[in-house]
Amino acid sequence: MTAAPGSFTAANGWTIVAASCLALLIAGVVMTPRVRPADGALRAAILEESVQSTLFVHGDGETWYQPLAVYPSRWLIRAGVPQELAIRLPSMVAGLLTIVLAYVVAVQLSGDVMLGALTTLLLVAMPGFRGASQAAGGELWTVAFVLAWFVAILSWIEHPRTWVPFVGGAALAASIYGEPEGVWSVPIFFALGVILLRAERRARSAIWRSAIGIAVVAAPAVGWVITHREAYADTFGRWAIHAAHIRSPGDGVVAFTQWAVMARRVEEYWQYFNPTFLFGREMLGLPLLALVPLGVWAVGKRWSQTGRLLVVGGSLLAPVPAVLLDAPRQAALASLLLPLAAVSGAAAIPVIAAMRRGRSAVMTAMVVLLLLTLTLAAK
Amino acid sequence: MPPFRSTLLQAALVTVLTVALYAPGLSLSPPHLTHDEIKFALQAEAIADTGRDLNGRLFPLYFKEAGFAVGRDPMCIYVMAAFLKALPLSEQSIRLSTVLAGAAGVGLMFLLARLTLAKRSVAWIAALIMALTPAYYIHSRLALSVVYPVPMTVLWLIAVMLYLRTQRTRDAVVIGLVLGAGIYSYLAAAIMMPLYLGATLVVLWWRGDRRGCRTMLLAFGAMMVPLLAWQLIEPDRYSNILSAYRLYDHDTSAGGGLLQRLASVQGLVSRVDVLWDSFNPGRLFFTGESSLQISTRQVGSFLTPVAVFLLVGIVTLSRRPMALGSGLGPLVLFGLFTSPLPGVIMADVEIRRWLVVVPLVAIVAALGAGRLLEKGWRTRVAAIVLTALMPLQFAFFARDYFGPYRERSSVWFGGNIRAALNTVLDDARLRAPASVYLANEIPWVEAYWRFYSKVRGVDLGDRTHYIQLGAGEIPRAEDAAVMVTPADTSLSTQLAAAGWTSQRVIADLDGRPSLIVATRPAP
Repeated sequence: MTAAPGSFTAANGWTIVAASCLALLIAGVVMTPRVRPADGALRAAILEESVQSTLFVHGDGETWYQPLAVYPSRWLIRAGVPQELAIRLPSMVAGLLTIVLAYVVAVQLSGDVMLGALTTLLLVAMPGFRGASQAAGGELWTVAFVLAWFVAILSWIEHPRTWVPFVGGAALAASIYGEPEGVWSVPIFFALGVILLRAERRARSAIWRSAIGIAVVAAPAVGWVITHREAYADTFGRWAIHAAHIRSPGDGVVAFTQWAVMARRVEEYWQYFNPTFLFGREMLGLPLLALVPLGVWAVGKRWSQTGRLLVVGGSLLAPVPAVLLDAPRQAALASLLLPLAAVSGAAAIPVIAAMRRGRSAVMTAMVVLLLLTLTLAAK
Repeated sequence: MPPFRSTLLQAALVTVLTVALYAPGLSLSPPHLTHDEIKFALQAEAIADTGRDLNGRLFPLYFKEAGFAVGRDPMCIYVMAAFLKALPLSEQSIRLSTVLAGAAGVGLMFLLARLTLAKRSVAWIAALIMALTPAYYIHSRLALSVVYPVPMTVLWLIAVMLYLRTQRTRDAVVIGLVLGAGIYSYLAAAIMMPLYLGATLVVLWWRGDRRGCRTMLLAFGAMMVPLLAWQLIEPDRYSNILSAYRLYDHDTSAGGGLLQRLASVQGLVSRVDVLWDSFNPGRLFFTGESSLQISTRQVGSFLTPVAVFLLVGIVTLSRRPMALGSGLGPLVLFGLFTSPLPGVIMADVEIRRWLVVVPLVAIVAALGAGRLLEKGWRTRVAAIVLTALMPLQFAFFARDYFGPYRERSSVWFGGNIRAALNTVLDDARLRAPASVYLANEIPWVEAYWRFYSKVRGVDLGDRTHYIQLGAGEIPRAEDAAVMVTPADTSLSTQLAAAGWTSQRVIADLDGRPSLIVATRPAP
């Protein structure tokens, strides 16, 4: 990591990361968490020890929960942590991890510590991120694991150490245990990683090592699905690409090729980028509208091919797992958009700063952004 | 610049080929005439016949009707009237005028593409994209005004391109005249044409061409004189537009009109949703519109391969704005992204309000296709395959359009009113009925009756009575009387009780009973 021009050092950057983490923790403890429709059932699954809990946890009816959404909270409760805090604390930890990893990704891509620090500030300013880090559930774990995969790829490109792709692949596969869409995140972001790695020397061995990492971590989940065939329809069934696969996986794949099904999925995908959703209170928040489009332009125009693929390509891929689940549009299913949008938003700031009177404009914009975020959060 | 005469000849060939593609089976599919087509046709027929509209006004600018005080758009009616001077009134002849307008748009698109894009093959692809666009094909076969802004938009782009190259005053005049004339093509064009004028002014102003701006404005202003004069004659027109389209409502208790709601955060958010949904690729490239009047629901508004070309074209144009010639690229992109504006104002995503997007998509997609054809052999093969897929997908669409679609959409076109009324008219040729009773429950039955009476050359106007069945107004049957009512099983017994001895059920295209022609034959 390199320091930004001027006096902004890596230490400053980490200080801001720490401040962002602190802000997230304070917000998590002080603010009333937003209650989501599915929260009640998940809370019940966490608190009810008698439900079928092997690796995946059986909730009510057809619902099975991924282990990271349930077990950490249970263990915290057993360790004596107050129930309300124990239910939310794992998400907060995943949120803190996401802040740190988003900072590292931003700095790795831009070589600018200041940009990394701004990324963390923007991330904490996002209502969707704060909401996710206060709520029970494993979506931020999935985000953190995908970001860890990105960090591993970028680290390997910078210093090709043999163990890094393995660890990155293992981290990516861990997203299977966070949320149902994490199952689809693995092949999708592995493919993105392969595209990035292919341009480098010794790419083949790196790809193999990351694939082995994925296989090792995914093995328990695969084994569990094989040994719990009765849960197939409600576990793999929920993650599969079309309901017809309940009859057989082949039927699901064939059904997906139907014109009407494809049309519906395309519509679902498109709606994840609807500005009223993207910049609404469930996701990035309205103030980010001032930065993200410019930032995407800046990334597309000024960043390296790797940066473009990871930030813009990653953002475009972020809702794909949710669309493959065929679930109604939910912020929780596209949480990876949050850190990537934060990186894009931060990328806009050097562009504004380079303009005439840009620095004062940046300062004003940041103050306005902060005030607006606080005002909207208070509503 | 390619040889102008040969380019013009090729554009004419494109137009002829498009007519050959668009014109067959005009009375077959769409299965019936919509009431709007009927009303446009009756006005056009009146103008062709007497020079006066249905209200007796001599060559009016807008065509007012009871229930539609805004007035129908003049361009469509006068073009149709010109056709009806030469052709007899029929379903084909009234739709043929729109076919010609649609085909002219495709021919002009070839001209535009040939003048702006380097290769002749790419110009043919542009014309192919436009001609095979399902939404454009469907709308060009309806005798409505919605297609008319399309050729005007392409003409505008051609005129701008020529002016930017030559700086001739004549071309600046043409820009103003075309945009001014475009206002009379369709109500939505009254929003888009001034917008295009503004965008063109910005381009010229940015280039420091004040003289061009003035000339264009003067020409546009000259075209506005009839509109201003009409405004003096019909001072209520704008308030009629505002109320007819629910744009403004004095009573704000329910949120006011559509324009008033734009001032609220909620209204603004909903319009952003509409704008976003307008560009929904699912609708644009997979399923089309929900209304079966303007879509088969089996194919997108555009053919699916166009999505790839369009994406490449947009990326190319945003990276190299001069790819379509200086100044034209930004105008095309501006036009493309603002095209849903009339739909956004009306909070309605249906493409019929923003068909001007079709030529803009065609030119940008052709640019994308050209770009792919320039690259390595893999992308070239992909471009060729995608281009070849377009006629194939269109063939599937056409097979459905002339087949099962007719049955699916029949209800959307008001049912088989034609068959019922023609039954009465054909019988009348043999022996004129003493009275004709037409149930007002059949939507716009009066207009349909007038139209088909004129088509068949049978005038029973003085013997026709319009009745309200809902009010229990079933008349007693007299000898040699005939009545047309909606098919309703409960009605059948009542008709028999009232002395209507013979009842013929007119089936819709899907076989369901649509209307009843009841008669009491003369002894």
